[in-house]
Amino acid sequence: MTQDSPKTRFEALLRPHFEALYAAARRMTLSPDDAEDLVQDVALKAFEKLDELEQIEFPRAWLLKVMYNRFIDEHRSSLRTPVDQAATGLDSEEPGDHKRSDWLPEDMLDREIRITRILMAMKRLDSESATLVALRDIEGLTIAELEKMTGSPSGTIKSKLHRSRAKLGRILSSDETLKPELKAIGSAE
Amino acid sequence: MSCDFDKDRLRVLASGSLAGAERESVLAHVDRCEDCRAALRGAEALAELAARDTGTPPVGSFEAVVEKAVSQPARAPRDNRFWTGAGFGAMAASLLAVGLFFGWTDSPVPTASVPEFVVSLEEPRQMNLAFETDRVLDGARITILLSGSVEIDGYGSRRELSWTDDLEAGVNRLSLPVIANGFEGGQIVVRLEHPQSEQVFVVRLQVES
Repeated sequence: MTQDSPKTRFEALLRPHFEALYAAARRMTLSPDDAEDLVQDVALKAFEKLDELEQIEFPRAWLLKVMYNRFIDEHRSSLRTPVDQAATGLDSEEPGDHKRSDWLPEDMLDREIRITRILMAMKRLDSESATLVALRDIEGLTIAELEKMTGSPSGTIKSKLHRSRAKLGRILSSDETLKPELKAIGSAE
Repeated sequence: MSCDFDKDRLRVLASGSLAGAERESVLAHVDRCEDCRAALRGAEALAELAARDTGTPPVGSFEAVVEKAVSQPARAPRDNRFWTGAGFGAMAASLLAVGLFFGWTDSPVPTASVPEFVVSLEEPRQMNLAFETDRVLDGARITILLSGSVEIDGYGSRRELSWTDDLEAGVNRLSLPVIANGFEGGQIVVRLEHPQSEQVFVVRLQVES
């Protein structure tokens, strides 16, 4: 039985995943301060669950799951957008060429605005869907890891992933859906 | 409508890892399938997030995060033993204090009087408080401050417990197991904070002789 203090144990648990957590937080927020707040939230939760976390096989997956859950559920009102999005409507769906620049025109939107739109759209997904698709498509977890984490079979996970991507795509294609929550309130950086 | 297409290829396409005939094949399917077209747009958005430049954590941030996490008082979840559910029920007669939050005013509401509660050195006694709101209050901050020779049973020498919680509309009952660890008595302050207001309860504690 270990004699290490809780702090020492917590450091040992968190250190290997800290950079990944910080990177995930930076991807999902618009400022370093917001990212650090998000990481701190996850760390607080992790410390409360230290005993459990030391027993699980993939603590990184657990930590990231908590982070995305908190991002979706508890940071809904924290996103700030640098400009009014009303004039940046996305193109309607048209078959044909699907280069990214078709629906996010580079000449009209800078990268930060595109990111803001995507983050806002992510928050329109339910927490489970957003977390699952983020862990797969952003964090690169394998289907096998998601199977272990969720307890769901791979077929179910793949179906959920597809539905979540499709819903996200439709939200991004629906300008009206995005307008109400996007206001010009200043830069987040 | 669903299709039999291998949908994970949409993710691979969005990440820029498909080329040549395979890429053309996927794009040809996407042209015909509205559902996969939407999924590709979603996958492209997620790939955009994945490609963000995240930088590295600031120097010292790991140590700061750990220090703050380990020094934070344990947060009591909504369903912990402190909360005993909504409604007065049989507990009504034993309530020590009831905070009425009708209208949830913009300024702190002074406590009308300082009630007293007798604690024991032998065993914890339940100190019951109730907070009434006329509507749901999400994200209320509850802080318990202790002074003197008293403890919240199970929390040792901690002088402050604090957590964020959602208060239900109606009566929210808080039941604190209080025990004395000396004869001089003490005081418990329960503070509720919400972006719109703040409420403070003070209870004087006397030790049973």
